Amino acid sequence: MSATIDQTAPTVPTATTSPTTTAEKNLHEDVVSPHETHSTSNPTRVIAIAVDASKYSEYAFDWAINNLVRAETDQLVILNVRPTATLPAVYGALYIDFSKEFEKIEAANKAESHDLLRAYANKLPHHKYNVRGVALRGDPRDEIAYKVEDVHADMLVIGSRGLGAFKKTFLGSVSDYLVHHLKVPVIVPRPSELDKAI
Amino acid sequence: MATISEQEEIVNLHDAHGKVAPAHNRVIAIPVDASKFSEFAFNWAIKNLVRAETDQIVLLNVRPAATVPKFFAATGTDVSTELDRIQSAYKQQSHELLQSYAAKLAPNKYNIRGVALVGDPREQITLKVEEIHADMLVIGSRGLGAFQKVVLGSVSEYLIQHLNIPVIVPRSNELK
Repeated sequence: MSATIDQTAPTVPTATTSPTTTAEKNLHEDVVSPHETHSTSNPTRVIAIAVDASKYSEYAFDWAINNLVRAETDQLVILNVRPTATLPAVYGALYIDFSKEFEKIEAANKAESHDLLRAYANKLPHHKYNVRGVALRGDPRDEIAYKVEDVHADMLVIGSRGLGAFKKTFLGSVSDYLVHHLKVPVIVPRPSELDKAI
Repeated sequence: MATISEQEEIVNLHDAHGKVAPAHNRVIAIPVDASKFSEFAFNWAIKNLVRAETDQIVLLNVRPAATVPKFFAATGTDVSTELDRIQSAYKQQSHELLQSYAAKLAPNKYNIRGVALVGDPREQITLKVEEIHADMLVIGSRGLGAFQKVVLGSVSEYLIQHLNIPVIVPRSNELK
């Protein structure tokens, strides 16, 4: 049995997945579109902001709004990458059909991702800010790197760590990867009180 | 414990600006050297980040400390005059660099300071950033010793990993 992911973005091909196939590359959904007042505006800069449900994202987002973003001329592209649902390998050998569970998990992840994007977009008055929100799926490093180039972002803002916050390092693996691999500036705001507040 | 051993205030402030930025303003530290990566980073900061009316820009340049060549030290040859001369040259070069960067900006419009430091750039920049309570730092992706294969030079890399303020590293594909 296979699951179908419905598309809202016209440019993305229809995808089908099953528990045994890998995720479609560059699968994305446009969750938040700019308010119509911005339809004729030509943004001078495109600023990509990758977020997840962590407090580090919240800090980075707020920092960007307070320190970097120029509402009148920038376009913000908020990105969230949700993981691909995986199944325990041992059951695969016994050939138990987990497709229903898989579908359910995938659907829940998708809903969470879309809710998160909308929550971030809603922090900003829609008439004032030109905001897009795009949901991605798969490996965050690859997906964000791809999308930043796809939207011709001039820079990326990302939190110092994510949900799996291993505290010994300053930079989580995704931020670290992007800092070293993107061709545009990657700005990583971090709370100066180190981790006491979070 | 490491301290800032030597530093000079190079850039003269416009009369309207004091040395210490008012509490609600941002202090943006920008370490520079003579590389084009610094130039790119500086221009990017002015274009994309700096708010002239309320920010204070603090330019930093770290020149190397004098080292006595092992050979001469062993034979006891007095190289102090040569060392002095080299150090003066480095010092002058550093000061001129800071002044040339400051000159890119209209002094009436921008609140700008320039400080010349000596020693290890990682250490000195880290110390100075803390001393001036910088809110963020902008630095070029590589410096003068630009080993082309790496995206990030050792100083930028160090600062990204160790400073607890945002470290912004502007970079461009066209810059090689």
